[in-house]
Amino acid sequence: MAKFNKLDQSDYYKLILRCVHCGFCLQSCPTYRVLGIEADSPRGRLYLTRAMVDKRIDIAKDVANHLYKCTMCANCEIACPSAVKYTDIMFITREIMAEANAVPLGAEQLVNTINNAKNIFMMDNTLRKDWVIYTGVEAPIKDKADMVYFVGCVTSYSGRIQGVAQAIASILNYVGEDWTLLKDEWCCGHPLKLEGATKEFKKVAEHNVKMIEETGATKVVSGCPGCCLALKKEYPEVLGRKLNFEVLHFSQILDEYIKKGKLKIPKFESKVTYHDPCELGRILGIINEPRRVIKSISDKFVEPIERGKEGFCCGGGGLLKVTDSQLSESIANKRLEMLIKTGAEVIISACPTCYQSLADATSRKNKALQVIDIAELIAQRLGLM
Amino acid sequence: MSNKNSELAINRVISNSEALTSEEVEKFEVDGLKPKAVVIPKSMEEVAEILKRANDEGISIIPWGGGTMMSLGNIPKRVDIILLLKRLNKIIEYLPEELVVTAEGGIILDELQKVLVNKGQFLPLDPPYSSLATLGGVVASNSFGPIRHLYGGVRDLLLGIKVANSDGTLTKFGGKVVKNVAGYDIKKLYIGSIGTLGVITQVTFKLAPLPEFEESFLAVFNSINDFVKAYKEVLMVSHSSIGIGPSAIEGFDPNSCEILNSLNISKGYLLALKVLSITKDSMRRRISELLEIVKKHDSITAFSINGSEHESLWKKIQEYPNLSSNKFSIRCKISTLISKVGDVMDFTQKISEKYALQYSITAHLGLGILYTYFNSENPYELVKAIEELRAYVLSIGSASSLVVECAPLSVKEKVDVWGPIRKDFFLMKAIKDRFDPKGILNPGRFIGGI
Amino acid sequence: MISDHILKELESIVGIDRLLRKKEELMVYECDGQTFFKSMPDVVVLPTSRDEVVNIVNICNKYNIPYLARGAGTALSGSAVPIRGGVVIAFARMNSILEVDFDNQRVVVEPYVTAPQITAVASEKGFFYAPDPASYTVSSIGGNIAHNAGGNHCLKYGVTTNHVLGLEMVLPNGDVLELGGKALDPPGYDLVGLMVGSEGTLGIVTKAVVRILRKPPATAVILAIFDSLVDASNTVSEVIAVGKLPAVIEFMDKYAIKAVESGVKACGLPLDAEAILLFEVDGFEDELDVQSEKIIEICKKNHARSVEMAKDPDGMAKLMAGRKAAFGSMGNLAPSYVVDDGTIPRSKLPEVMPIIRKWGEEHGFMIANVFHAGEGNLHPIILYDPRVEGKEQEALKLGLDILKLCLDVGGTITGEHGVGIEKAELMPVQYSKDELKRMLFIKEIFDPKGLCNPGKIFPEKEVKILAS
Ligand code: SF4
Ligand code: SF4
Repeated sequence: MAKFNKLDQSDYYKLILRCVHCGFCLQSCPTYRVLGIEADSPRGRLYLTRAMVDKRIDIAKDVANHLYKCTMCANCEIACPSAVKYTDIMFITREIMAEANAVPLGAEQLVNTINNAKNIFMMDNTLRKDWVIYTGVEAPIKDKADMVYFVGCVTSYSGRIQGVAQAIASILNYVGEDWTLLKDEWCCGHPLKLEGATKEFKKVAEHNVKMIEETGATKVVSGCPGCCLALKKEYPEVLGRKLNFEVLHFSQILDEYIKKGKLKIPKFESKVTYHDPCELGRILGIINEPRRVIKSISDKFVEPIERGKEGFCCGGGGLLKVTDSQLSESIANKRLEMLIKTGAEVIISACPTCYQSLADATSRKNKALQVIDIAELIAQRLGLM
Repeated sequence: MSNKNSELAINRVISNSEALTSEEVEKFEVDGLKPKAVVIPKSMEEVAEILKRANDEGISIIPWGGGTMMSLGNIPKRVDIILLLKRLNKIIEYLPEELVVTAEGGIILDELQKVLVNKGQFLPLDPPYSSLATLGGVVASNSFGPIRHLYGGVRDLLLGIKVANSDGTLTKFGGKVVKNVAGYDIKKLYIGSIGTLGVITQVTFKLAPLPEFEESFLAVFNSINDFVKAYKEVLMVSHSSIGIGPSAIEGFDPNSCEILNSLNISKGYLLALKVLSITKDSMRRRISELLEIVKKHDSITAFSINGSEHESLWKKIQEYPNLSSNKFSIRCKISTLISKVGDVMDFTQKISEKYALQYSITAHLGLGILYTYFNSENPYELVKAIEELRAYVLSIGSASSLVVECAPLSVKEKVDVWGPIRKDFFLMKAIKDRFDPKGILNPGRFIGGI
Repeated sequence: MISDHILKELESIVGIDRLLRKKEELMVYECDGQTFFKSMPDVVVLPTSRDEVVNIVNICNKYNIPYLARGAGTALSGSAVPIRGGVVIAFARMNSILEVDFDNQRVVVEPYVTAPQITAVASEKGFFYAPDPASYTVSSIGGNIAHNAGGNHCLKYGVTTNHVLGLEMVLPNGDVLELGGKALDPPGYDLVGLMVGSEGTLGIVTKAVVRILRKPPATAVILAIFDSLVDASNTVSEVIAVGKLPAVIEFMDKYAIKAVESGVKACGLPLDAEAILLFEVDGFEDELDVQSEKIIEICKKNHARSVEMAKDPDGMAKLMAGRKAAFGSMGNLAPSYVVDDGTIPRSKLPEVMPIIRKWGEEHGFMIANVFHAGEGNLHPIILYDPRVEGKEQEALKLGLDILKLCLDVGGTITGEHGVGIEKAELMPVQYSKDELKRMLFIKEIFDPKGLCNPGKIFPEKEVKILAS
């Protein structure tokens, strides 16, 4: 609670005050678009935050229910004419909420899970590399390597998504990279940061950075935008220092390979569209790379509406899947509709979470639509899987 | 009230005002009813004063502008005093840089236009009888002409209004600025209310710059089907933005086409456009695009005209009701869906043949508004035809309506000129009752007996 | 407070998910786009159909509970503030486009549809929906109707009332009425016209029929920079007088420029300029130059320091960047502001602009001006720091003084934001007793119990006096 004292004089409060309550962000917000409830809109969440700082309302779970019903997709920041740093504010707010134990149950449990198991699934972390066995791909664990492949929890453990890891590993092998998995990869900690558990997040960051640095790698690659965001931006922030390795999303690596002629990929005939993962497109600004990769193999690429910087969330972001899975699904349905409108037969994603959300939405809709990760698609075209 | 008493009351009402002599009064009538007096107020305040007294005495008032739309409305319940507004004819403020004019309600439209044209501007309203019609009358009767297509009607152009009320007050709504949302938009109520809520003494209108270049594009079709297909396509590609135009898209059946008969146009279904452009070259391009469309739909002739020929044609079109008035005793205004204009034309022809009526039809195609004109020796047939046509129009729905704008008494006695009331009528009635509690203003002439 | 059994009745209409009653849920409905006027509703309901709205209104009627309809809540005058508590009927779930009728150039929508959504479906065949108030990407058509919203392009294309032809509404007595429709000129008094701009005080719109127009084939943007407020103001009048009607004329003064240039959206506008004017002309491609030349000539004649024109999308976007960023950049100058909305005759701009500047300086406020000059619709933005005691009140008061000035020169207290709570006290300044009385007649006819969005437009005192 210490944080809230003197808050009204702080920079944090200044950030909040910048919101002039114009509401221009409403239509950009996936949760508001589905629910239509002001408390579940960016403006509403900022208003509640301010009300807590102003002590007009208690720091309580009831408020947290709305604050955590946000996918942290940051689309509102793009829409905001006053340049309100919504996600910056919310990360601080969530820290405060966590400190006050005013966090929705699902989020709280997730923190415990990660603390205990080092992954988000409460699985034995030593089974993290079992995907290698299941998929039969070759995946080295070396003491030293140029490149680390940071797999991430969702990709490691979720059956359907393990194909992404297989694809990435096989492509890295195909081009002959000197790469390795980490000996003991922990959850990247991004969910901890999302919950507001800064201390725990720092611990995880320290561990993973140590692991990476031990390999001497200059590059870390991941197929998961959440992991990329954590490694690239959030780790240096929480550790307070620059890191000696570059963090790349696998779509950037693919783009690079294609540019350098390392991959000759046969054309893909189906009509395809691409869904921008929020963390990849909007937050990390990786918008053109995946598109270049797709266009290099497809002449039938169609853009959906609300894409790129203004990409509409799949519903899987933030901690929404654990705080309100129903809402998460409704958002996914909405996004899927936009993607279906393009007339594409294949939806390409570049994020294991988006993959999951959209694939689930597709099966709910009984649509004969294929959702595929960009790495998988390329690996398949290359005949690697 | 006995005759004697009412005469005294009327005298009290008009005692301070200039009134016409009894011979002159003879020239006035509304649906065959003669007024007991005709007064000519010189100021808005005087109008208000007269209304107040009339209200006190329970004397009915019929405002009279240019008298060009006096045929509009049901037969009045009473006609006591006609209020002749021709003296209220001053321009109150005209600043060209404002593109706005404020004038008294009795000013004649064409007179005002003369002043505006000097500054390269005009009031984009071209109702029939514009050489007689007054601004107040145009508002009260919601009159308009072909160029409403581009510039909008009274409800789009009127910025402010000053009204004399039956309680003797003068009230102003709206203003002289183009954007104003302070309070309820009361001025809208007066538009087309034929003076049943108050007497319009002053109006402020938004103006428009005169168009640079203007030409007529005309095309004639043999079959109504071709005509309909052509106009629909023309509408689809036509812009309704000032400067891009066309400012009017008109249609005429073979009968009205014949009456217009300026350029010896072959008789048929006539499509007439007022095409606008900013340069000469682009005019040529636009005309040739139009030519292509109408040819595709088998027009029998198509050409453009400009200069004085163009102007006199549009004067004729504007004055069509006047031009044809000796031929037809009935004029109906039909508002419907843009896409249904062809169907209504078709139905009108059929019904006219069925009842052996003489008829003609004109249409503002882009507005979905048609005028059907009828004549017959036999009023019963006329009534039947109107009723059947109205039933047909109402069956289209979407707020479609038929208003008999002009009809002899024999017909008015049997038809409600406004048609059936809708569910919202009780609100209208309540408004009338609050604005004119004693019902002295034009009693009985408006919708639902208002 | 609303008793539990009434809540139960409401719940039986909308279900538990669409009824909000917890403090944190209600608090965010205590204000709209502005935050000076606040008042919490007792309950918020989110209907999904007209019939639900009817049932809700009937319950409010039965128990004499005040209610109001809320769209996106972007209004700036407090018109969506439930000043007497009661029920807020939030329309966010009624957001379907019901019909796109190209043949008749009409679109039928539910109230929460936004203008860009209409334009998106209309553009399939080259049409668009014209009114574009600053909030148009988020504000609802229902709200636009309630406020008769204007926008950048209304100089040429008119305001909301010119584009709304039919309404379905729920009257305060629970009746459902169809006013107007796709066809023009329904006989009788123009009740559609009356409803538009009535700030939700006469009933609740549940459906609207709007007109769509053909998109102009090409546009060009002109940016002129001036060293004097008066020169820029004169230019506006002159452009209008010569009959070259641009689709847009926007004005930014030096503080607005400063706001933009000191933030992340800086776009290279000169900080030493007194004002810039931005014009947009539209028409056929081959005619744009002719139109623009004349405007450029007038700018130069009025001593514009520089005039630039662009016809390509990138170039236009560049010239418009400053204007687009202006409102949002105000935070660079001060943490809070009051924005007013008076309209004046355009020819009064040269007179009024320097006075506003002077008043600001006298009271120690920076007043930035970014506005629709073509319509004379001023938006003076009075910047202040809410943490300084009394400043907010002072800013509000200065705002009202500026509005009185607008009245003095023949204008109005609100061009597009509406009266709401904020300007109610100026209504008796703009209108006479007899005029207000007639407006109140209307209110009484439509809403005899005074439950529908009470406390708006008319000052309490006046209502009482006139009612007696
Ligand atoms: S981050 Fe995304 S979900 Fe959260 S408030 Fe902003 S737009 Fe809505
Ligand atoms: S976050 Fe930005 S867009 Fe949203 S209400 Fe606040 S200022 Fe407006």
